[in-house]
Amino acid sequence: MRVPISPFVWCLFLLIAAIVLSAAIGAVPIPPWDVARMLFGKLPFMHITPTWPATYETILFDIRLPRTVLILLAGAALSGSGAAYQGLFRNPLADPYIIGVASGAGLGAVIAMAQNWPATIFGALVIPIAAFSGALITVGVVYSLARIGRATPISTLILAGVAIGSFTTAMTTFLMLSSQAELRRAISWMLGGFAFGGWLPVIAILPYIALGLITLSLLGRPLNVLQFGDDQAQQMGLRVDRVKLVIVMAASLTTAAAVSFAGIIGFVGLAVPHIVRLLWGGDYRRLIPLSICAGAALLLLADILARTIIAPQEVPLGVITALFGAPFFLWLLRRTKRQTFW
Amino acid sequence: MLSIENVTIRYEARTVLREVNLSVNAGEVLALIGPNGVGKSTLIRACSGSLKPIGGCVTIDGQDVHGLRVADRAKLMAVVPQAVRLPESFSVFETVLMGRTPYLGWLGREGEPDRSAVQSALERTCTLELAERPIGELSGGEQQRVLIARALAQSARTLLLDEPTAHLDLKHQAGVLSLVCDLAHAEQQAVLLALHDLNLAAQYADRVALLSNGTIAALGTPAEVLTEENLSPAYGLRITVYEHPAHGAPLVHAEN
Repeated sequence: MRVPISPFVWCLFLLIAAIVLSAAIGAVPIPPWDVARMLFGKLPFMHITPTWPATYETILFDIRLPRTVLILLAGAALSGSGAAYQGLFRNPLADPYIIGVASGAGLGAVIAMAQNWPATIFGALVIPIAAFSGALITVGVVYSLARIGRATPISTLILAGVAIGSFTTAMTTFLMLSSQAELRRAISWMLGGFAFGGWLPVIAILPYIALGLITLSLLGRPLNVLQFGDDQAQQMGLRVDRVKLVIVMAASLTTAAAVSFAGIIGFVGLAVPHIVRLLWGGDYRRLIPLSICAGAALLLLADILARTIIAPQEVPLGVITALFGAPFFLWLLRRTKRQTFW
Repeated sequence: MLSIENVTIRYEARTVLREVNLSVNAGEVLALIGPNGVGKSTLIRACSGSLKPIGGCVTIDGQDVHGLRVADRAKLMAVVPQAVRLPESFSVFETVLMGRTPYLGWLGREGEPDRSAVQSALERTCTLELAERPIGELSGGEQQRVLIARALAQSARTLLLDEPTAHLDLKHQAGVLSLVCDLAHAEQQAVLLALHDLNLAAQYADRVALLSNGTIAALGTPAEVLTEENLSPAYGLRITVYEHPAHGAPLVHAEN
């Protein structure tokens, strides 16, 4: 089975272009060429004489790049886990939030905001930790509710996820309406607003996202086997329940880490795997790494729009992904002549 | 060799199978027949390990099917599912290669032995020329042959087939069943298949087991089992059995 190299080259090229653009565009524009040279200059054994003002370096490395990397990680995390969930559930409507990560994170964050918890405890940021814990607790509850004996039927898992999701969303809304805290912050967080700067968020979520995404990328072949259904996969010698559990754990950890800082960015995790599938087919050994790469690139491009479209004001990223992502996705869907691609 | 010992299966309050005993030997095709809902598929599922009996056990080469690790079981026994909707993303070759899952684990990469097992499975099922086609595009008969190829790629000595000819036309019915017979006879595979078509059972099976009322009502060669005395009460209607004019096999006809 040959894995063609060209889609990977394509995605990587798109990603690098998006990184450079994202770092170049802003209130103080930096020429993309200088961005590229400054980035290369940081590599070991590369000696590039600076020809740019020193403030560029401060802007690039202390302000732009942390945000660029955070968004890159969020895009990668959401698209990678979206692809894995679509494969696991064999359902084109599955997205990273399907079993309650988003609503759980929302509840966690709103509890922290409504209770006016201090912003940091022992140097750790409280709201992201509350969101992260809320997400993982919710997924844990959903998964254990859906478990029947040793099996975890897919349909039960989805239904439990939807039910618990509605419940936690309702609680979140109730808390928001009944508390005196400022609602604007919560709403903008939920739509994917970036409230945190600096490298701390990146360092905090990188280990979880890296671990989760590497795990998911390695599970392409079991996911392929799962496409034949639980029964057949089991008869082909796959420990279906073990695979499911590992995928749910890896995807939830990844998504929870992403939303804890980046907020709930919609549509990327749903659409990017489909875009990749439309272009390059549904083999999960390729689909997951390609979705990770394309998701990172596309979310960076969306963020550039979010920052510039009504500058100096910022539009929440979730609004941009849906506003521009949905028509693009529909165009691609219509353009593809194949009757079914799922 | 597959051995079913005193297997009892109950769904809720209804006992579907009661102390069923049956064994399938290497080199033979055993057909399970019986009216709809009598438990043919249930028995196949119990053999494949998907369903745990409440009493008795199923052993394969002397080992309890439900005690084996999933991968070890898949090395001993392969299952060809009933006509199913297959995912569209994979080629025939890739599909058959998935039969190598028990030898690869989660992270293993397919190597030369796996590829040659697939090549041989494709040759034996006459699907080599389909290798690059997406499975979603194939006809029902071709898909069934590919699923048999996938089972062969598992290199298991025992094959279970649940209604492999459902929804197939005459030509493909004959193609699939003669393929299965050849595999059993030439390669000493033990084959257990559920069939609803009694004449196909008569023509292709070495032995036939008639399931009725949760037990095996008759077991033996097609000529021994496919008789009016056995079939009429089991199916609850008047059945006449003729002798096939060419090869003497029983020819079953339901009377109005």
